[in-house]
Amino acid sequence: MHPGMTRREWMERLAAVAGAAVAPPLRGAEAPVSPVVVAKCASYGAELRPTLARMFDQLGGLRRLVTGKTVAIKVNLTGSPDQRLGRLPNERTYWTHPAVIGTTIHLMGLAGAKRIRILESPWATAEPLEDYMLAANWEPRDLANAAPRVEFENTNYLGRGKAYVRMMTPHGGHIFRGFDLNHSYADCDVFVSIAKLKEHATTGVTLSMKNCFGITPCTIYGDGAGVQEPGLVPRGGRGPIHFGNRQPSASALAENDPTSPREAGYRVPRVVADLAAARPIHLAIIDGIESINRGEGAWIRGVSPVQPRVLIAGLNAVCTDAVAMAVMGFDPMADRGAPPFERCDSTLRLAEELGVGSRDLSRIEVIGARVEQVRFDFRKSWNQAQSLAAAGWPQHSWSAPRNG
Amino acid sequence: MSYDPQALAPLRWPLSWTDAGMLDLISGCRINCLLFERADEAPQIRAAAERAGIHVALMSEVAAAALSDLRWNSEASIVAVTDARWPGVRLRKGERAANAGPTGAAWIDANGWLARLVRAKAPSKALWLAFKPGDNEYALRPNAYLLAIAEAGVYGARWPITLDPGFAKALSLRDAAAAAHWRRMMQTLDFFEQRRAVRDLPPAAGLGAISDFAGPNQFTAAEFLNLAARRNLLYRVLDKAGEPNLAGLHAAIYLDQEPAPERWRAALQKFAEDGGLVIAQAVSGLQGAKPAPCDLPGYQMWSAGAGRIAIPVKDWQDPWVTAAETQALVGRRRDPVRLFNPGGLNLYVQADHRRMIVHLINYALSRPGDEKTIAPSGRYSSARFVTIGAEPRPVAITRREKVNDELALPPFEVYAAVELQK
Repeated sequence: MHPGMTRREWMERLAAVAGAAVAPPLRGAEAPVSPVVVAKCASYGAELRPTLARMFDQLGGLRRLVTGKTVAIKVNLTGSPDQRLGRLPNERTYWTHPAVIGTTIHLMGLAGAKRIRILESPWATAEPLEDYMLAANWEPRDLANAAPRVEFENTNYLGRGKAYVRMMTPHGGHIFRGFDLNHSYADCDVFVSIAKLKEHATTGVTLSMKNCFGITPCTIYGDGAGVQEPGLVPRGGRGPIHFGNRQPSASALAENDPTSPREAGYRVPRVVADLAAARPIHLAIIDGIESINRGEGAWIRGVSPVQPRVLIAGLNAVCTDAVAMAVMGFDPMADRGAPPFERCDSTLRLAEELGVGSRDLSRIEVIGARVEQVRFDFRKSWNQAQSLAAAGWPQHSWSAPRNG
Repeated sequence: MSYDPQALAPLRWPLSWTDAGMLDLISGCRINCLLFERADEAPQIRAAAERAGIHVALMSEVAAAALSDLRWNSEASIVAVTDARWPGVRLRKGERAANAGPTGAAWIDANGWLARLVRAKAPSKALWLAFKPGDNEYALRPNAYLLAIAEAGVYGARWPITLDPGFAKALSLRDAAAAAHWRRMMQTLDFFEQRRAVRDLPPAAGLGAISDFAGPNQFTAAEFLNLAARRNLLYRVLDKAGEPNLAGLHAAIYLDQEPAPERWRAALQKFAEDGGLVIAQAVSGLQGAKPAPCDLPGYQMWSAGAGRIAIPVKDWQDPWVTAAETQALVGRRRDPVRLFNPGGLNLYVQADHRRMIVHLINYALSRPGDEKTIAPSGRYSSARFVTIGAEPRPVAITRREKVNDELALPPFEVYAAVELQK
């Protein structure tokens, strides 16, 4: 470090040099591809374990991926643990189901994972992740006991680390050249995103990449972040990422271009793509057995429960999300203006430009069930949901805003 | 005339009611006490009321004062707290949506914490929450009077019913809608008077909140009670002036910015050494044996025997933050009950070895309390749903493996309780 230069100035200088050397955006044809496995799965019961085991085998086996490794698993527990869509537990609507998480942990343990860390950034709290799960009426011990050496960490703040870890975005990033994250996202050999198959009010879809929006600590990127240094504990949501109304704490890298549009449909897909490039996902798993349509959580007006009864997994997040979009009845090559991106840019296209992976189905090998065999058209379900309500499923219309 | 202060259900007689015939309104109701502002006010009505066996009193005869001015050792048999607030979800004028609090959740004006504090300080006295319409903007909304009566009833207090001038006038003109609403108010009062014995069931809580709730400690300690309740962090109020009683608790917070009195310091030290968690500022004088791991930023954890003592690195400044930190330190595993979709609800739970009563108070007056689910800790064999104006009815217990059983509750307006039996 240059004498007289603060650590932050030094890091910024370093990042600027790296940014100047970035390559121009990649074309889709240049982005890497990897097979994606699709499987029918009717419930979270007995069929789940053999289905997931078979899917992992079809991807080349977990041993190759996790033996002797530290695995970090980002799950999706968005919103608040006491908020539900009607009377349904969150795992049956918009949270990753603990059976999917637990079975994955168990299979990774059998495959020889050295340590498995479950990660999430719970809404506006520094309480332990286990307590957050308890508040949702989950039993975190079931997850802890699913394999040897399972840990939990709330990554919405510094957590158990001594410092935040800076992870740089290849090609300079769309919005951020790099991110300061909880140590768990760097202290791992394998990073796994276990997401939910659902739409998203801001980004069109919530899949394995959008799940990782929540890896940003609100102590730095949130409404209540410190101005100079990170806050001690997270307060509020990620409004600044949505709307650009303020910059992250000055200890982190500022936006590349503070004059860029302050519109969530422009910003959030870009930040998600940046994150997918900065913190690559080695294994993407999408829980589509039960979910909701129209949005990402109970706070979105008109959301209803749906049962696509499908699991999707892959070793490339963009490819996996592209196949998942096709399963949902969307064209993964769609962009702003076309469903599901009526009011936003395509995260998949933006991640593709950063070289994360291809969204071109003609280049992606789909293993297991064919897309047309398992397709669950989310937009058609908007009407079906009303029939479900008539048949006794709850219908809901909350509209309280909540970032997540 | 002698009277039992604990049995008095008071009404502040509206100034505009000059006709003794208005006494018909309370005939057959639970109201048995009329309060007047001045000694020379409505002598004929007062005389008629006394002839009818109704207790008559002046507000000045009641020891009414703000919390900070209450004299706990006075001989008054009734404590009337004047800085209670009209309960409800706070709205600004012209706003349709609720004001957000620091959590992003709706801001609730509630008096449960205040009632519990006063009852802890003066357990033998009758408690009145003395607030009036006009104290804030939502007093006159539909169901506001029902909520005011219900909230006091849940916490073993009473609200001296105080009518806004418009409502009082409508009643005096025998307006049908006003009369119907009055009947609902009396039905609500009757409901809680019938269930008066429930007030003596102990609160279910794993956390004890200790303070003298007086002088320089009062604001912080009282606000902690208010804001912890808002988080549904269940606690037992422990008056530092009394003898230490930490039985049944697994955590205790010493809220005061001064050394703990010796008997409390010794009791808390033993509580920690026996396996409990004590949360206190350094000034308390509580000490652990050696540092222990702590994930919560801003706290130093010390081991003490089988338990722990958590000490903030900096003194507490913001009671909301203290409440949030306390919840994080105490954890959720031993929560007596979980509530889903709390919305504008506050929760109050009482329990003994064979039953639990979960009170749900809906402060969001414009929305029914629907799609609520509770998940009580422990196994119960039966449950019934109790609400105002309806017969109690069984509610199904959905058994869940390894986690708390769940009960999906029917919709309700202002108040409901779930009574669980082992």
